[in-house]
Amino acid sequence: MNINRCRNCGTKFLVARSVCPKCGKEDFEHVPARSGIVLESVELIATPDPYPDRYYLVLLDVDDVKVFCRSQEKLREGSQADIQDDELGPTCRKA
Amino acid sequence: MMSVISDVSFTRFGKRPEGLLDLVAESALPIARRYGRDIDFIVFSNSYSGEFSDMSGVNNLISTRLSMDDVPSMRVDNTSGSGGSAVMVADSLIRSGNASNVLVIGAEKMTGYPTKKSTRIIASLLHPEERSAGISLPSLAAFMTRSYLKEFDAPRESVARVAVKNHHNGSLNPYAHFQSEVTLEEVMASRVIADPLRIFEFCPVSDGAVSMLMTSDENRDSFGNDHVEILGVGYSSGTSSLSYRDSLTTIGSVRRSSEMAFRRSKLTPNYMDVVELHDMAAVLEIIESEDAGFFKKGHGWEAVMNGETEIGGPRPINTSGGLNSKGHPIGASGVAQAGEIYLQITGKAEKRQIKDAHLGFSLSMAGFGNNATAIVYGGAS
Ligand SMILES: [Zn+2]
Repeated sequence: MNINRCRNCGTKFLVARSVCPKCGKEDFEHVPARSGIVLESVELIATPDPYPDRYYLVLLDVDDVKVFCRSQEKLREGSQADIQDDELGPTCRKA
Repeated sequence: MMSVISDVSFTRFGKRPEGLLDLVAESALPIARRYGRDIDFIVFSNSYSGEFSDMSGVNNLISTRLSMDDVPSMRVDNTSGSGGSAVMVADSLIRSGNASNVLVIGAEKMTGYPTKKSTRIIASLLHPEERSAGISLPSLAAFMTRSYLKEFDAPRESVARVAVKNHHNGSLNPYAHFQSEVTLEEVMASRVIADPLRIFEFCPVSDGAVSMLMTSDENRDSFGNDHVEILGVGYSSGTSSLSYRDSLTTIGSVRRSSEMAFRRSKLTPNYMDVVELHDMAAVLEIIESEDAGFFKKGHGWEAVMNGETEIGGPRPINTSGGLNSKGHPIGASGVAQAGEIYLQITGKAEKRQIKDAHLGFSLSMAGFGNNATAIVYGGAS
């Protein structure tokens, strides 16, 4: 998983944009997101196709950017988690 | 010039064996039989005809189905907020003079697939970078609930009580998907969908359609005696990137659209006799009731606990049963909100009738707050 960072003003965000929401420039770099702090984790029992039938959705703070990950275990708020992509998308687990 | 709603016709919402066009016809025919030759525009609110029914260009399929082949038509697709947008478009067509008498139809056919597949279809409105984590719309409501309960020290029970109230209201609404009440104990013992939220705290997957005749205040006398005026419409967007939002306990598009609708109608929330909010999940009714200005931020849950939002309370919300109990056929929901306000203000809401309902408000929201349309309604009395 990558975070987008504006090369002009340093603004960071997860979702791809063609224009910086702060300064309007169009030049970005991609910074790998490898770990973050757990803000919240929610157990999801009714899940969308093609995901497993049950998992935790975790909201992480990665260097002041919020990102969502999937986890097989409940992660404690405030704890550190490592991020890794699998074939479906970003996952995380206890660091 | 002002636009008015002059007629409304619902199908029963729920798991229906009929297809999309059959449901549309069932709701539209009572109006088309009365006023078909006067209708000069059809606005069709619908989002997922392609995904669930393998149909596109569906507005023209509908006009021919109703033998209104030459009547101009368009589809308004704005996910869960399509209905509010469709009313806004009809109001604009009428006030600009581009159309005189508009048939507004909202409909969705959704029950053909297993829940896992329909959950995937609805989640397609999220950005790929967020969706790929396995997010569903219900899971966002769970994040929202946790944040709200924590930030405002609200009891878990307050969210469940919204579902109890709305199931009661739905049991009084012959068009609602659910026709029975639930107790607080039943809600709290029901299956967890996205922790801590349980199945009775979410809207069901439903099919359904609703149609309305909208015209101008100048033309209204040609369309019966029961009219409800559109006094003000407000609309706003907020970022569609959930990770880019500062707070999960307020929705910017709801705040801004509501403020605009009240300003344009020269009214304030206090005057509203009847209110329909977009309670896809029960917690949203509480948060929207604050963001729309009916309660101070962080106090909406107290109003629920005190019974203020019940029929018979000082601030009735979702007398129809809301999305929570009436069901949420995506494209139909926002039109059905306007339909409920129409029934209330014209005194046709039967068992769930609010006494002396003259002014109303509806909030139709798309994609967990990506945008919202707020409408203030009034009736002659
Ligand atoms: Zn920038």
